[in-house]
Amino acid sequence: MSAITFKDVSKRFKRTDAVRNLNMEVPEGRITAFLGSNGAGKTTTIKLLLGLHTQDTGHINVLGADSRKLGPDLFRQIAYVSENQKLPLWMTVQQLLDFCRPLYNTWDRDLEATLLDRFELDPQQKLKHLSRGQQMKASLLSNLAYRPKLVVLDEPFSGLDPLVREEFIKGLLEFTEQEGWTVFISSHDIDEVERLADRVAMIDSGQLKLNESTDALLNRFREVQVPLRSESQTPDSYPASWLNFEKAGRFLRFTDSAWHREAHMENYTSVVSGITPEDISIRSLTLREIFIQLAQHYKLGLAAQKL
Amino acid sequence: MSAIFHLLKKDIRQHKLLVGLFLAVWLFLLIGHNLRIFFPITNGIYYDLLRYAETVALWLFLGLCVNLGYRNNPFNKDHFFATRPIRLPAQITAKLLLVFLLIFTVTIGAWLTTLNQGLPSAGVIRHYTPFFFCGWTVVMLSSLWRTPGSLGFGLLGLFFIFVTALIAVGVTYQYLGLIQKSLNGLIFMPLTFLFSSLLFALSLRIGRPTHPLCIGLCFLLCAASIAGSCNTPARLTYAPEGTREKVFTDSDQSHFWISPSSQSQRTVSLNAALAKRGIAQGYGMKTIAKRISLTHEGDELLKTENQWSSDGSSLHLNLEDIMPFFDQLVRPEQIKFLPKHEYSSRRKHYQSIEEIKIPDGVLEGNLDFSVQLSHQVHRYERLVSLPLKVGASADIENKKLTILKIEEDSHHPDRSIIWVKWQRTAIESSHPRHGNTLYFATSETQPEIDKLYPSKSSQAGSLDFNRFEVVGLSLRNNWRSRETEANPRDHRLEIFGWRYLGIIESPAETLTTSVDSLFFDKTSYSATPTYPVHHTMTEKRTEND
Repeated sequence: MSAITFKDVSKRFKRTDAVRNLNMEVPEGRITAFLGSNGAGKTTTIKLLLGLHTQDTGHINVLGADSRKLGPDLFRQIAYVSENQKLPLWMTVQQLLDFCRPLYNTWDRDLEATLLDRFELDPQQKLKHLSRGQQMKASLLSNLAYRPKLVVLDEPFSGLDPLVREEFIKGLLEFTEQEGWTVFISSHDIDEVERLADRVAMIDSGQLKLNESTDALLNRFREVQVPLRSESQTPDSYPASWLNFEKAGRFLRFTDSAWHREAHMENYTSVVSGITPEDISIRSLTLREIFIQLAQHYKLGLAAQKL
Repeated sequence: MSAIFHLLKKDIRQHKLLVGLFLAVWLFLLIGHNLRIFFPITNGIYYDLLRYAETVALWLFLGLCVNLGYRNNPFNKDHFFATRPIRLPAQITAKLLLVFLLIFTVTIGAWLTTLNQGLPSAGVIRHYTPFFFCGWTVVMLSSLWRTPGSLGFGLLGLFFIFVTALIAVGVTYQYLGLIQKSLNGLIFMPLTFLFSSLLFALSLRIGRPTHPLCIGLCFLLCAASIAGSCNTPARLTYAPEGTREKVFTDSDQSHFWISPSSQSQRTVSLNAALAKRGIAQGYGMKTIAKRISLTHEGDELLKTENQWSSDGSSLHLNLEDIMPFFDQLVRPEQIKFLPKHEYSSRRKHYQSIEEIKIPDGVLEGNLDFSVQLSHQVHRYERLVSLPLKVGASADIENKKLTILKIEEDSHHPDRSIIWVKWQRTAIESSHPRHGNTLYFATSETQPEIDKLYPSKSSQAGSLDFNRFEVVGLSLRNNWRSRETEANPRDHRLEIFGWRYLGIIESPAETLTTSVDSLFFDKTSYSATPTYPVHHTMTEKRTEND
């Protein structure tokens, strides 16, 4: 069951294609990380799903409703925290909570108190006098206290100190487990996301490049290093799944995006002649490294296309 | 409903500084007005202060409305409340409700003040109603912008569009003859608000708040409304105690006449004297009011300069023309709202100025109304005279003028139409030149040269056939009596051709009269002031000629 479904969604701002033919499903009760470099189209996608922008083509379904027709009833089930959001800075934390509380019939005062305590926020302090991180905490607090079904986070770690990040991640994991929340999170802090996310989606230049479970992604990416005995050993061609193929001194180095425990050695030895499996060094990658490899690959691909 | 009040509470809290300042200024005004009940204050600074406070309150109110509309508006998708479960109508209603509450508070204060002062309070609501519609309009228009920069530039741009549209609509109004139509101005402010709401709704529908089509259409409509509103004569001014009983019970007092009959008489006798001396010259006199002022014990309180010209030898100043001048006397301490008064004049309905307000302090002394006048003497040269009968002819500058037909105008019983044939002997320019303009008149109208009828087709050499009309009761009577005779050969009537020579303007002179006699004294209408005519100068010029 999907909490969010994107079907052939496109959005264009004047001459820029922000999102192009996006087809994606965000499963219910899971944490999905939405990754991409700056300007890839992450925030636009999030705004489209919340009805803050209207797509030019395609259809977005959010909790069973059209994203363009999200009303108060659905907004009571959706939490949205963004670094770009303009908070009512003239309010105190308490005033913010007092304002939000009557709007949600599922507001949990105990959870509010717990989060207030955990985030160490002074209720009497005005939002404009809080640091950026504290403002983000206040926003999170006002969004999580009503136990939403869908939590949409756009750069939620921005400005948060490591301790709060840790607590936030713990809390989010805990609540997702307990309450069955669906979390759609966009972030540049990939290390944090790796610990959180069940699934990873990656967007580049408005196009979805991958959308799969974190485990599967981590399993299929490997960094491979092959020693060269002579210049003639350099292969003329190699599989498309080998990304960022480069010759670094006496080594061939690349990222295998289709690594498979059983079949990989045979692939490598067939392409690079005269090497034995013992010569090959294989290393698994973190999500951050995979992201960088993919981002470089897309960048090179785009450069090649331009050439 | 609870959502609206919840949002209203939030809006008040959000704009507490502007709301607080506005209410503080309003409180100051309320105390200031009511202080007069207990203390007879005549100090001008006190009243000036109250006037400035009113201006400050107005700007604070407009600022508050702009802020109220712009903050958390539905086009600003980045604000925190954009994804909260709040319905758009509730958001808008809360904002409009706040504006209404503020104006309601102010109206209640003004109403209580009028009651305290023992003045009629019926007009208070009518006076303040446009303010809340104006506030609502500003709220709606300010809701269309995403960023403070776009708001600033947008409002500036809209101002120019609006002014242009206003001028365009004003010109159209004039062209279509809608000026001075008596329309109720209170209709226009709600209409303007309605158009702003339409713009807002249209923008929401299109998803682009600054769509040029929306802006263009709605601002044209807004301008049409406001142009219509401005077109209506001003209705709300203030008056001192008892004014209502004294003024405008008689509609004739809505006009101020200077009727210098002596001047006309002198002009008549002057022309007669010149005619006797065989000098073929005629003179018409017009009185021009160039400057009007109000003085109190010799001190000039107000002045305005304009050009009110008469249509004859008497000067007629319509009260509506000079009323903007008196409106400047309005002071906040004298609240009196008087009912609308309408009167009919020359089959046209006008909405008169109902109230006049004169400051208390000023009423203690003599308040004089002065008009600076000058006289324009229009000079004519008599070229020809011929008996008013069919077939009569005369030579004028190598051209022959013949009367072809004389008939009564079926549409205007007091008007006769004389057809003449104008035979050219030489080719002349068809472009009219001022000096060549010919004016025709009967002998009966000759002494009152101002009433000479300048026929459009009487430009010398421009047409072969001319038709001109002679207006005058005496002519009609004479003509009819002549028609009843069997043999219509009465040659007592003559037609004269006059050439216009130009204007001589006399030095300015000032006529002063008391304001009491101007507005309050019923006898002032007939007992109009007289003043000397500067005919000595005219005579000098005549002799030189």
